Amino acid sequence: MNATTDPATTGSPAVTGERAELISALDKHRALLLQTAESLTESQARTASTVSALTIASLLKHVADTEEQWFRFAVEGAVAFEGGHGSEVDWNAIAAEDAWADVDWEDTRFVLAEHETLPHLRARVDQVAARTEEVLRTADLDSAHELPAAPWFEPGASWSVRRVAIHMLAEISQHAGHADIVREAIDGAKTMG
Amino acid sequence: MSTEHTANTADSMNQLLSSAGAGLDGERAALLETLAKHRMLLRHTVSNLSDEDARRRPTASALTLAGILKHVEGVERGWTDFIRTGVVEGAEHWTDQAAAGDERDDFALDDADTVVALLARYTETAAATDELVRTVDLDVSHELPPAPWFPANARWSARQALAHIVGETAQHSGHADIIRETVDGQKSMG
Repeated sequence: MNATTDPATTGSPAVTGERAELISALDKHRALLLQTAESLTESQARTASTVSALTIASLLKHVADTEEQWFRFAVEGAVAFEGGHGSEVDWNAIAAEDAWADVDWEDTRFVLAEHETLPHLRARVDQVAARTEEVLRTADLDSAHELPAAPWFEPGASWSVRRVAIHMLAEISQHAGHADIVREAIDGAKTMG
Repeated sequence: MSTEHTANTADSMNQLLSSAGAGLDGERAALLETLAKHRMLLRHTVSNLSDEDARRRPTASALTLAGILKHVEGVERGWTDFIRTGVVEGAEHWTDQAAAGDERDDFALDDADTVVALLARYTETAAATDELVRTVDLDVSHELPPAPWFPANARWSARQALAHIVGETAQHSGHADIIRETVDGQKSMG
């Protein structure tokens, strides 16, 4: 990533066009997600208010973790996913047996630790967002890395920085949609944009 | 519904995605692939569903699966029209509707809005969008329609309108995930 320069030392030159528009779209949809946590108590934020196990706090945690991992992938490649969700599973062997739907592994992506309060999670979302912006300001948007092997990725496909950014826009938005329904079931607040 | 392409395996999704952006520059290919993937996730969420279940309001929200499908198709059609012409159909009512506190009426369903009919319309709209993404100048911008949620005199490029479609599709798909799980326990594939 020799194109990476730290905006803190370059005076954060204004970016325009595609870079600026990707940054602002991500900011907007992240704000829609954060809005679902407005004025909630910690207890409400950890309440599974629908048939789904999802909670507002677990969604904030998952989105921050996912965004951090994907933008690490955008810069460093598939090493970003090592040790993460599903990485211990030999997907190739499972695909050969055509049995991947039966795979079971402990899904810890949405599990909250005691210290992961709303202020902590908001700060974490903001911290990850700042790193995302830095990457989108400076990285070559066409620079691509091969995806890790997993049944939900096309084998051998590579994703560019740009592709990661658009994927994260959708990923954040989909979870914001989950959060809208969870929030409305908690206290009737309608948060959908 | 059995004739609908529900594409509910990772393999069929990968086949579709690997062809979505073939031969195009990186930005157009990324937009086409992401749009295709998230339309498919929503289609999957409303697949194998009776029209009765598609019109149920099983959560605290007023939303229904059929209403979401109708709205998302309308969003995609409206914002691709904006890219072509600078006009979003129905936008002339947004300011008055917001002031009156009215719900957007594009979720409201007619008798003709069966899941099969809505999915067919969505297929047509998607094909027109994809053709536009292949050819349009992504930097060309138009002034946004007046609405309380947009800054006055702001402009959106084609790229921003397409990003808006991606975000709206995925956010409403998130609504649909939980509504579907409430209807019959089917979990999303996302």
